[in-house]
Amino acid sequence: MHPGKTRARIAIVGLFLTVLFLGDRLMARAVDAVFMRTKFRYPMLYAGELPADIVFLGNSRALHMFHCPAVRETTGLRAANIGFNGLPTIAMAPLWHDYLEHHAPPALLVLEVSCVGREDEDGALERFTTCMRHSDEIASQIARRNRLVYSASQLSHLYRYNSELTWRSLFFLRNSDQDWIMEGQVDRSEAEELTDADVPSLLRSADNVAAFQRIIDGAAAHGVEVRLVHAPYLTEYRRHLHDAPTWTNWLQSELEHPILDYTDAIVDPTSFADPIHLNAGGARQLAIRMARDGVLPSQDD
Amino acid sequence: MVFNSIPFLVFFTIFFPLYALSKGRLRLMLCSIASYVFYGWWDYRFTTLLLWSTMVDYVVGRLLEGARQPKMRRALLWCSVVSNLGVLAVFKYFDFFAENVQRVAAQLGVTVDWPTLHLVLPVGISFYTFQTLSYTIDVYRQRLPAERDLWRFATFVAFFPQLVAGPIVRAHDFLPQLARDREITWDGIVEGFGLVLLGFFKKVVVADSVAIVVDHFFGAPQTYTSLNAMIVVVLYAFQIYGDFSGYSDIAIGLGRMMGFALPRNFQFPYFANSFSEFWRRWHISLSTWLRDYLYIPLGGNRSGTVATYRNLMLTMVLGGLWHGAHWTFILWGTIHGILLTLQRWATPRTEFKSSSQSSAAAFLGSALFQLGRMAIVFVIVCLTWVMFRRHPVGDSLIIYARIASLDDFSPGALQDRIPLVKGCALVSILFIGEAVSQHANHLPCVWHHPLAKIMAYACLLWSIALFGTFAGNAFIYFQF
Repeated sequence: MHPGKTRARIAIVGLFLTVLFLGDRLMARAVDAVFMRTKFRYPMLYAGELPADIVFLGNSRALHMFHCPAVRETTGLRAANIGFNGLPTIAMAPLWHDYLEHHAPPALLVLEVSCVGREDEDGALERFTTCMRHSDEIASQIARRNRLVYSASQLSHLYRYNSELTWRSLFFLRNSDQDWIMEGQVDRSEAEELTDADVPSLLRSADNVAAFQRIIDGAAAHGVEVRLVHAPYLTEYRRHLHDAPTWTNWLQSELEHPILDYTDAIVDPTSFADPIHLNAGGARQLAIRMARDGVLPSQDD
Repeated sequence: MVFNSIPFLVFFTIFFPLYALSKGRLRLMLCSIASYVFYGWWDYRFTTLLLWSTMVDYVVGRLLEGARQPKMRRALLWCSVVSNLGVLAVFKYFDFFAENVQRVAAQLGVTVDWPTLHLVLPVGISFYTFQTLSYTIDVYRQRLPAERDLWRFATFVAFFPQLVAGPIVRAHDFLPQLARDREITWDGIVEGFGLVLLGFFKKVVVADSVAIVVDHFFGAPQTYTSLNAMIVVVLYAFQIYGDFSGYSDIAIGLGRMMGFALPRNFQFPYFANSFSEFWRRWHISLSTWLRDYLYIPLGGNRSGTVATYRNLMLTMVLGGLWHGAHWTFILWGTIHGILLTLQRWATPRTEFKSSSQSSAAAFLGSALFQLGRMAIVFVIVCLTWVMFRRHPVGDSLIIYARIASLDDFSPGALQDRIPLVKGCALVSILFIGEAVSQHANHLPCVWHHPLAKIMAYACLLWSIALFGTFAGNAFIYFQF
């Protein structure tokens, strides 16, 4: 082959790789800039725009149980919810750490505990590659748990934004997602047909307990009071969750921290969006109940 | 081994340099062995079927060449047909027919106690069976000399890029390509790489992203609103297209990199403005196979109107059955047969006749007419895809009922909104890309400049990184 041709081809390959690399980095920056401009909870967390007196953390149960507008209305205090659907317990500690890094410590942290008894959904942690640029803690968790995804995120920064979080953030370009809650009411007939097989028992995971312990310790170090809450279930669901009391006792002794049992606090089925999540009305009732019990402070406190 | 997996990436990274460095017989052997490794990755036992098919047709081909008596030749042909279709019948159709015979017998009050085999369907069995069968038929028809080199023949049957989901290659196209070392060229690598990227884009970006919404929908269609059902049915059409044409693009691209020219399998099928045109653009290698080895031998359109309609129906019903042993596939083929028959009947009556005086008005009228036809064909094809899902026929009826109910058109009632929006956005990108590609020859020459290619390839890779779904989903057509 003609040496000139070979050189030209090497140059084309080199140019291609350069364009690919630079484009990847530049576009990742651009996507990140868009992500950070949204009013979605995690960009706001990393931008330090979620100052609060009360912070809620957990998976979808925390997300749909502790409704910030209802808490604000009931307590008169600023509230922020940094929980998320399917949020793995192991990702909660880094998020809490990052919250403290970007905000003044709140007065109270409320943790919904049922996530400790759940197995992490496949790929749940990997959704947080979107936050890797802003959180070394998240990055190291991903590196530890999924080497392949971590390597891919290092190779392509665009790949980090290939996540539900990025797409969801686009829904909140203007309005905050802190008032996000499920609408509608649970289908009673379906709920009545629930059997033991439909209700997974609560697991006893040492990893999840350790992650929770880190959150509690981190809060204590910053003088933040922690309340652990086992949030309500629909009565028809709770009836099949046979191990809930013993599991709560077990977790209480593992963490050496009291757990407030609200599993039967809401009995009105119209307050539930589905068997394990409240709707807006239910969340308001729960906030009032928790404030009345002194679990949530009021402005006067 | 699926293309969208790490094992394949490793496999091809090892294979390609070895292939490029080897020559002559060694290269042929390498190609053949690599194809068996690729196929055996699913289940090594499946390779025995592949080997059986290869050996039977190789031996029959050789014997056919020597046989002069028509009776003997016919017997040999039947040997191959029975062997190939027998394997297909046992692995793919036996349980279906056994169950249906039992069901019909039960209706008649007769007990038939046929055992069902519950065999795992070897991937791609319908593809390579048709490929080897066409070879034997061509040798029988004396359109092709029998292949003497077993390694060459084995490579023709098992060539890994197109082994499990086509395009189905014809022996007269492919065996001559195996007769001498294919030259690996810069242009071939560049073009092939581009096709591979395009295929991955269609598969992991479009088809697999849409699959999330589609799977939820088919799981509980009764809970979806009319608008939601319409959107998902259209997305499903693009999922099937992205999945299958994506596979074909990767296969053709890999072949191109290796110096081979595999036939085109798709040509913008959703831009077809008639059902016959759709079938000239969709799964072209199967459509032409069915035309050449079924429709034409049945008499094609040479034996009068009724016979033509019968041949069309038979071809399409059997084409449907080829896809799978399930009533929905038979129904799907039947519906397409009816559509083709109706179109054939109606075409002379529905041609656009311009009565306008000005040529601009005539052009506009014709364009609108074509666009309208295209839209109608697209909508009907989308509706028939509902049958393509391997589910009870009743589920398809539920979906049609949901669409026809026109009950709720509020965007707020849409389910899975995030993946739905993502799916619609990605499908739109694919649709626009296809519309532009249709007229690639008319694009300014700047698009054919190396820099434009660099940008296009980089864009595909960025899209794959940003939007791809990396769940390692198998290709839909593997099940066939």
